[in-house]
Amino acid sequence: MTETLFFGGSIVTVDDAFQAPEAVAVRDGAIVLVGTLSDAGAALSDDCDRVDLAGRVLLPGFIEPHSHPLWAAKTRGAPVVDVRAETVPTYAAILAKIRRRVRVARPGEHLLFFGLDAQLHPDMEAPTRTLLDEIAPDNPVGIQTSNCHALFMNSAGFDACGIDENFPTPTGSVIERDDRGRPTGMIGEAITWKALETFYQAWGDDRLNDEFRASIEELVSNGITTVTEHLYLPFYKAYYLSALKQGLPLPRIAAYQQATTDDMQVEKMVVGDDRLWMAGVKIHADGSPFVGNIWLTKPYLDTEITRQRMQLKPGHTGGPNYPQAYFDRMVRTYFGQGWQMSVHTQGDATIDMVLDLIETILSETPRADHRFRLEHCALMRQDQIERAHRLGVLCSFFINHITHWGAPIEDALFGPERAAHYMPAGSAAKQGMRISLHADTPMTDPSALQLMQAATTRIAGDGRCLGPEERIDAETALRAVTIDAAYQIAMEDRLGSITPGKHADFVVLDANPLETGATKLADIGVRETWLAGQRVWSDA
Amino acid sequence: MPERPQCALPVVTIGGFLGAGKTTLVNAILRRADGRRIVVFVNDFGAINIDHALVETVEQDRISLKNGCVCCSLNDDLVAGVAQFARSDAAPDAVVIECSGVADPRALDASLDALEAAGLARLCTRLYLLDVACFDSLPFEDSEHIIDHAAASDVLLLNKTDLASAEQVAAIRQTLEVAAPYSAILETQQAAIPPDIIFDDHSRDHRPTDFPSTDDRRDNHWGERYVQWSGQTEEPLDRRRFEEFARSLPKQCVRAKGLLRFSDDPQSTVLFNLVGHRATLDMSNGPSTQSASLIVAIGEKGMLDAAHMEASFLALLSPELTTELKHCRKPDIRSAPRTNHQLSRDQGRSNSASDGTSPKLDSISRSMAFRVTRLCWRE
Repeated sequence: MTETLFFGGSIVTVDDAFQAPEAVAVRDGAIVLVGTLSDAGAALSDDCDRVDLAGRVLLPGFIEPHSHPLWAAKTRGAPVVDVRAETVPTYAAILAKIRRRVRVARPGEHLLFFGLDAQLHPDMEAPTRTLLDEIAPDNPVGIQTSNCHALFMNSAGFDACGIDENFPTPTGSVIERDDRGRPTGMIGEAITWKALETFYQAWGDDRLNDEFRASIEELVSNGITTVTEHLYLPFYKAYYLSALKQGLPLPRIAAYQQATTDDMQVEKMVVGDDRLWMAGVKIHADGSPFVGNIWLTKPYLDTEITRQRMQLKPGHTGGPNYPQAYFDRMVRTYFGQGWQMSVHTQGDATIDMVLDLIETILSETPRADHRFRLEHCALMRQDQIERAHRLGVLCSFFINHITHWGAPIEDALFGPERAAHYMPAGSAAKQGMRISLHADTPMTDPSALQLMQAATTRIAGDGRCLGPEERIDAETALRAVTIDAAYQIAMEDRLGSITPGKHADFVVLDANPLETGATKLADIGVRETWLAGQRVWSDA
Repeated sequence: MPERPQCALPVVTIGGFLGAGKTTLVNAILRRADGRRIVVFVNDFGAINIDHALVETVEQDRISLKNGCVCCSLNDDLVAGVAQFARSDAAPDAVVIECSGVADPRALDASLDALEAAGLARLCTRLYLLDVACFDSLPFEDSEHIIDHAAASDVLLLNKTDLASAEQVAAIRQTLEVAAPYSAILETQQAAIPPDIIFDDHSRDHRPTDFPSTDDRRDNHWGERYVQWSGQTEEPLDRRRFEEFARSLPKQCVRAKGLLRFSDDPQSTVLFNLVGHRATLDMSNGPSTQSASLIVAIGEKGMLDAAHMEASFLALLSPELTTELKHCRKPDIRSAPRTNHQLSRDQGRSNSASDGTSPKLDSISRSMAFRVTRLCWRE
């Protein structure tokens, strides 16, 4: 029996009353009492472990409701070369870096570069297969965009992945081809992630295990005790089980299996005491605003970035990922099996399509507690927020778009009106929706405090505020990374607040995020992370 | 908008691999502070080499100099360390932070953001040093790290050029011009660069140099390497044309500073600062004592072309002149009768950036930073 008494600091419970107790008593990984120090002490035996918070702040462990921890390890960890704009500022510099890397490559070595960005690399051109062949005639080379949705490859890359003129384009994917059907360099959406597996496999499991450890460390060092694996695939399970077996401080994993075909089996998986479970199924209704493959009712702006770097035609409104009938069948199939559906939606035309479908499905086969989730929700309109809330549909906002790409979103892609309501977390919260915020790692780094700051300030990288009306208060933001995120993964009865009966998952911070002020949230120090009553990380 | 109180301490960061010349530069800054009271946080406290005659007191992790400068050991809590100086009654003029030799200088960003958010400090200059003599013999991963780190700097010093061949230096320069397109690249020996490039103080009273060290022959010859240009006008500036002017500056100079008045808000004084390709505009709320706009630029000889600067300055003042200049090519300031402006061409060290005509800056309330290649103004 392990017993721990927490006291001596501020305790932010994030329960209904946001009560501020003196102490928390924990036994065998569960919270047994929240209240006065004497009551909590009395609830435990005399020789329990005593944790003096020494003035620091105890909160429920953060919940990251839309990320890809294992996939982040694959995508971002070495030997993937980081070419994101914050590291390599221009496309010319990226090409120079690739040339240098190719010069020291072993024969046949698979080379992958992550972070090409049409919005942030000012001189970007789409790299062609011909150009990459000239740079790397012998090594498979891939350049993945920072939004993860597209990959550029040379001939050796296409050969390694088995994609040629005879390879059919899977439904929902993009393979750019010449007149004779030969791939010309760019592939997009689901085929991208399949092709990347070729690179990851070539590097072997040792590499992946190392990088997965680093990925786990990054989560727990940011106080994250539960994270989703959106786009889970059945073969991921072995890596998770191995991490648990090794005793790694793996946060609780809520898996959302990738819907690739409507006949794919979804395992009703539950591992350990809520350590890994199948939460639902994820499907992409559209793509990335930064690629141009989202579906809009009003076109993109016609700018140098949309025209030259993204190669969109004036008046471009994009489209959905899948033919409507195919998409409908997939959602109906998985929903029919009883799964929670988590639907990637960015453009407002996509959201119309998805809400129409959800309304139809719910009218045909009503389900009281369906918790349909819309993911990211970049260009969701006010009428759609109202409609979603009426239907019981929940939004999870990828709020870091504001901090990372705020300037191009306003100036180059959508203009000030749409930018002011981009990722409309404020409007959704005003409706009374239980919203969540996510970092979508590997797209942006995992930090609940950064998410809170992004949502409460909406200040972009260049200092501008994008849509002050859509800011939310600190309490709403804190709920969006704890209890309301727990609600969205249907675990609010076991996670997300410091409440008796729930798992003892905590984060210890230097300061109370409800008191520091919006601009200082991201700088609050994370001191300790507790998972199931065990200290799994400490900055000491 | 982020707010910057008047006392926000300018912070200079110095990055570079082991042996790149960081300590040499730190020693030079401490020795030749030009009247600035500078606090330096260093990694390797023991490597700091200061003449005993200059030392006032020595404590376990702090050396105080007679010229008012202080050298501290960089401990775990940089934020608390800087905050302590920023809040003290006699706050220093600037803080210099020497980054750890192997660390990514961007690891400091979180600390700097916290200090900026608290209104205690503001980023002034990100310097990065690179040892050209040993760059080619580094393992691939190390040289790639250096290239990545260099790209995050404002001013990049290709140091120890005296120990490398001209071909080596040229090849490294070529690599870095592509890899670090937003850095001003300077070739140096002994990490020697003018303090006026490192610091951006507008209103500082230049006091006589405290320690005319025996080793300062080099320092006294900045004029052989660097040129300063300045322009002044009574006419309020057009914002859009200033943007174009600012965009052209990184091709000419390493550092530019200005006190500006814009025609859409002539009552306000705006502080302009540019280093490398990074520019900031700060609104000054204080009572203004000057009606003119003043711009000073410092650059390398051969890069900073005074005739070009004059031409673009005149274009900034009057669109009619731009047309005129296109025809006559050779700018003649007397041909601009509608403006009251002055242009000066100063060689080497000069105080004109902060001579008696500059206003005292009482309060800076609004600010923003931008990269000149992607210019963006918001207030």
